Amino acid sequence: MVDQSKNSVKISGAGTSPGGSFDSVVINGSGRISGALECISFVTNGSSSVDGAIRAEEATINGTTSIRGGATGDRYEVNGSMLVEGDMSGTRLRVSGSLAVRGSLSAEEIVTRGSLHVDRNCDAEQFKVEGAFHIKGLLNADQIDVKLDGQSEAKEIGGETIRILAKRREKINWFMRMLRQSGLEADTIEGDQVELEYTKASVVRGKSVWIGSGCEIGLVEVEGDYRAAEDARVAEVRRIGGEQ
Amino acid sequence: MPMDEELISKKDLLKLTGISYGQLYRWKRKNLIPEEWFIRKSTFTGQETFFPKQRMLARIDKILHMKDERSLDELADLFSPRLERMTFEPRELIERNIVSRVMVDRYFELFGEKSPLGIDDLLAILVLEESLASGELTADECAMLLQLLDEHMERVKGQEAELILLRKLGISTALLADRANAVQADRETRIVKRIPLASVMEQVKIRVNEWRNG
Repeated sequence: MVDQSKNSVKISGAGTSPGGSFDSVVINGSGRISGALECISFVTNGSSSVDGAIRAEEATINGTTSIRGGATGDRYEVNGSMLVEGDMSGTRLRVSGSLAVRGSLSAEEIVTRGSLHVDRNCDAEQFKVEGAFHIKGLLNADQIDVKLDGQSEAKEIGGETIRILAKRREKINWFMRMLRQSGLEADTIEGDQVELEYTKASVVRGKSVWIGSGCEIGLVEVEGDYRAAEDARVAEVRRIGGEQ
Repeated sequence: MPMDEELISKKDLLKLTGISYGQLYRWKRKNLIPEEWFIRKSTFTGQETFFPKQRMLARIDKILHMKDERSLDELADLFSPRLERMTFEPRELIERNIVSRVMVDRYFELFGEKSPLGIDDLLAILVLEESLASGELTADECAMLLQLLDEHMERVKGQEAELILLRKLGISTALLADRANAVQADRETRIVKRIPLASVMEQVKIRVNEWRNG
C-alpha cells in the first residue's frame, strides 16, 4: 500500500512510489522509490531501493537498502546493510552490519561495527571501525581507531592518530583463531602517532611508531619514539629528521 | 603544471615547514591543497609523494598565517572559491590563454563590454568558441544561440541542456532543449549544430582549474 500525502510517503507491505521532495518517507516491508529522493527523514524497516540519488537529513535503515545514485545528508544510521552506488557524504554515519559505497565516502564521524567497503577515497575526522574495512583508495582521517575482526585493506592510510589493533577475543579457542584470521594490508601508512597490530604494509611513516604483534613492515621511517614487538617483522627502520 | 617545476618530497616538506602528518592530511581533506599537487612517484623506497615546491611552500605559509583568524572551511573557499562566486578579469583570461581575445571581443560586441566576468560569461564565451570553431555557423547564428542561452541561463544551470541550431531553406532557428533528447527534423531541415551545455561546462571547469593553478 502506498500512501502519498502532500509531504510524506508511506509504503506498507509492498509498493512503488515516484521520487520527489518530501518531509518524511517511511517504508515498512518492501518499497521502491523510482527516482531521486529528497527528504528530511527516511526510514526503512525491511527493504527498500531508490532509483536515483538520495538526500536525507536523517536516515535510518533497519534491514537493507540500495541507492542507485549518491547519498548525502546529515545523519545516517544503518542496522543491516546499505549499498550506495555513487558517492556518499554526511555528518554522522553509524553502521551496524555493512555499508558498501561504490564512489567515495566522506563524513565527520564514521562509526562502524561490521564491514565497510569504499571503492574510492574515505575521509573523516573520526573513523572508528570494529570489524573489517576495504578501502580501495586513501583512508584519510584525523583519528583512526580500528579493532580488526576479519581481513581489512586500504591502499593508503593517513591521519594524525592511527590505531589498528586486533580485536581481543578471549572466548574463542586457538583453533577458531586460526580459522578466523584478522589483519590489515596497506601500501603506506602515515601519521603522527601510529600503533599497529597484524598489519602488512610496505612503508610506515610517523612521528612516533609502535609496531605490534603480527606485523610485517617493509620500511619504517620514524622521527621520534619507536618500539616494536618481538614477533613483529620489520625489514628496515630509518630515523628521519633531527639528525641533520 | 609546469614540467620543470622543482619538486619536494613529503618527508622533506614536513621537515622544512615543521607541520605534522595530521595537519597535512587535514588540509588535504578540507581541500586546502589541490589533489593535483600530490604527485606520486616510485623511488627506491617504494611509492613516495612529492609536491610542487614553491607553490606548496607558499600555500602552507598562507594557511599557517591565516588559520587563527579563519576556519579551515573559509580558507578552502578562499583558495578555491566555488565556481558561482568566481570572477575573472578579461585581460587576465586573455593573457593567460584561457580564452582568446577574438572570442572575448565578439562576446563584448554582442552583450556590451564588462569586467569582471562571471562563470556564466565564461560559459557563454566557450559556447561562442564552440559554435564559431566549426565554421559551419554564421556570425548571426552564433549571436542567436547566445541570446537564447542568455535569456534562459538561470533555468538551464546544472541541467543536461542542449543548444541546437536548425536551418531550413536558408532560414535558421535556435532551440534550447532542457534535456539531451534525440531530435528529428523534417527532410528539408538541417540540424547544423548541437552544443551540449554540460560538456561545455566541463571545459569551463578545466580552464578555471588551469587559471587557478597555472
